[in-house]
Amino acid sequence: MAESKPAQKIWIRSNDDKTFEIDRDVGERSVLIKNLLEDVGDADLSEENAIPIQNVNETVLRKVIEWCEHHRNDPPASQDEESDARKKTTEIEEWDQKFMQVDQEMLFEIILAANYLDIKALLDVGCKTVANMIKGKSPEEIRKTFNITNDFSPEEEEQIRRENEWAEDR
Amino acid sequence: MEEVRGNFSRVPQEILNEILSYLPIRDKKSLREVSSFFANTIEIRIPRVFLSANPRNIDVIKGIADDKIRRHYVEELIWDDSLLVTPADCRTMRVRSDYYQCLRIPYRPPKLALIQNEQALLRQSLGELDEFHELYAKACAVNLCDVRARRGNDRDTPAHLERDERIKNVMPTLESIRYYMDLVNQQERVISTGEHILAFRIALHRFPNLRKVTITPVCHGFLFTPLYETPMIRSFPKGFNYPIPRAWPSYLGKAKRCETTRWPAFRQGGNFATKWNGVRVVLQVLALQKNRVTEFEINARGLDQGVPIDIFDPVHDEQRYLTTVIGNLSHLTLSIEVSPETDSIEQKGRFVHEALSRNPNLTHFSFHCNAPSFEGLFPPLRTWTQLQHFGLTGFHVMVNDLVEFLSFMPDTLRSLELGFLLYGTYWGSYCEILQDMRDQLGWGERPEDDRPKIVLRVNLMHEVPGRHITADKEVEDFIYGDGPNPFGSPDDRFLWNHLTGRGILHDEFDPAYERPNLPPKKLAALGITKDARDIESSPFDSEDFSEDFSEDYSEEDELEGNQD
Repeated sequence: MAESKPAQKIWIRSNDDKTFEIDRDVGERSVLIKNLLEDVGDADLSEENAIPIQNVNETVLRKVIEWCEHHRNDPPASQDEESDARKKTTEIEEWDQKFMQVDQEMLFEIILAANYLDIKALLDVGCKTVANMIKGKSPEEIRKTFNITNDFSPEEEEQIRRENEWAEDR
Repeated sequence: MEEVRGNFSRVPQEILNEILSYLPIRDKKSLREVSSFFANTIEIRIPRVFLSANPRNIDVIKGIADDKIRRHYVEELIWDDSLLVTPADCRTMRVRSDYYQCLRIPYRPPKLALIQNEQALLRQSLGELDEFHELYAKACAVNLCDVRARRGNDRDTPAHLERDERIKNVMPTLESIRYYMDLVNQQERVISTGEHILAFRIALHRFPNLRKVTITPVCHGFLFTPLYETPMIRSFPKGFNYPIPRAWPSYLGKAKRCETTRWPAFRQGGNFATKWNGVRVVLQVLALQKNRVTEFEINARGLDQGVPIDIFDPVHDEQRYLTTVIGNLSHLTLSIEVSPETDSIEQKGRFVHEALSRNPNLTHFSFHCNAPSFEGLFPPLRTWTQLQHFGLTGFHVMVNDLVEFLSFMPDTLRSLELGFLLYGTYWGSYCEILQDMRDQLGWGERPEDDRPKIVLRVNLMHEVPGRHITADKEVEDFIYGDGPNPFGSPDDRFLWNHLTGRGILHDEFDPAYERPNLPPKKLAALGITKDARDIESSPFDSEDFSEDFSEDYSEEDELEGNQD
């Protein structure tokens, strides 16, 4: 039996200059990194020449790498699955739920990083998490959850309520 | 700025849209009330509006009609033609009989003790109960049993849990009657002033993109599971349990024949003045006022209801209106009812044929009817040379008649819907229909894109109102491919009309009910239903229903007998 090849390493650098050494298949969960690796070519890969991840800091990048490592063997989602099944449910698998138990600042940072790095599955989990934080809540509860100020005048508020009553609920 | 957006100020619009895509409209509406940022960002479009003899529905439709932007988005108007039964209705045995027919629609009748208990509670508050109160208490008991019975052994889902919560906090019957009577008074006022007619006229004038009008008697669906959440239904208190109105009387066979399944002339007035009120109003206004409506439905959604076939008789004004309306349509759906003992299908079928023949441009036609013979009611296929969709449900058919009829479908046909067809003992079965369609129509020899998509709706082996099975893939695999006949082999005569272990189960009133048509053990294994050991006993358990089934029905039968 052939000995399994050691995973190829790549290096990525956060915007606050922290370099991470990760397995190539973990990094390639990000479409951005995958494309950059193809552009750079294997010969130029080195710790010194780490791929700069300009919009993501060390703390967030560490979290994102943790997610990519856990999901390194996930099959790629097809376009059809994305458009159909994904929209129907906000169910999140248990590991991802625990992964997303972070403060709200971090949650939005992860979403932004997933968007920048083009990691669709992580972006979905982030958006579903925020959607679940909104679901079933009253406007006042949503304001509290996201620390948002009500800036409506009483007339505007009444107008919005009235318009809302025109629309169906489901 | 940030204080009105919170952390959402950091995400670009496309991510906000992504988050919103996971939210039902109810939550988007809550978000719009959070701050001006969300109110301005989240656009709630209103593609369909609702109208009935109810001031809340009327106010909403007028509000949208006055909105400079939203009025342009409205494409469909649904007329809820289910009028609340009034105490005055209950004083006439005929209407009372209708009312009992409404009660027949539930899944299974409840234990008599539950009804008696509900009536006893009411008696404590009111002293002696009159006929209306007795019926009211019975309807409320039936509703509660219905919710339980329709849930069956399903595992908890958000929708089931919400209904459970509402049952726990159900409004006491006396309070419910008071609220209901306010609604009844409002309904009477609207009908007497014609406000709903005016609102419909405004809608036709102010909604430039209104293309479709649907009239249905089953808007209220089942308790806490309406077909549509109309503004009226949404305004009800959460625990409001009330006699679910299903406006149109229905034919129940010779033994329970109901005289009101005839189209009433206006001169008969009296208690019939409000029968099919929505059908009358809509047809008259659509026929006389300029409009852009090209799609029209009188649709009982597969339940055994419809407007009497008399509506096609030229002696009635509505025939003239209906014929005018049909002339402007591309899409038409009709739920029609006949009383086989009194209606001459040959004569009335000719009226139907003549009315439908007036429009050679019809592209979509669906026909639900309980006619005992299909022969007299052949739609004018030779006239409809552009027909793309044809639907036939509820009819009694013979296999040979049906397949021969289908052979005249124009080549333009792209979808065919057959459902709830009934057969005499020797008339055939779905098994044979599919076999003959495959062998005789030659549709499978057409290029793939030209083959009609076939949808077959089949009742459950033990019928449940509003539920059916489809097996589109299996049917097409058989007719267009090498798949087996989904109804089994012609040797297995008992199963010829049933899809066992195949297809998908649907509930017209509860989209979340959808599931594979599998035996209970497999549904439990899929986590859809509970294992037998997880099921808690309840006063509404199905054993209780069957126990008192005959007892309850004998009470009904007795009342039915009284009227004759």
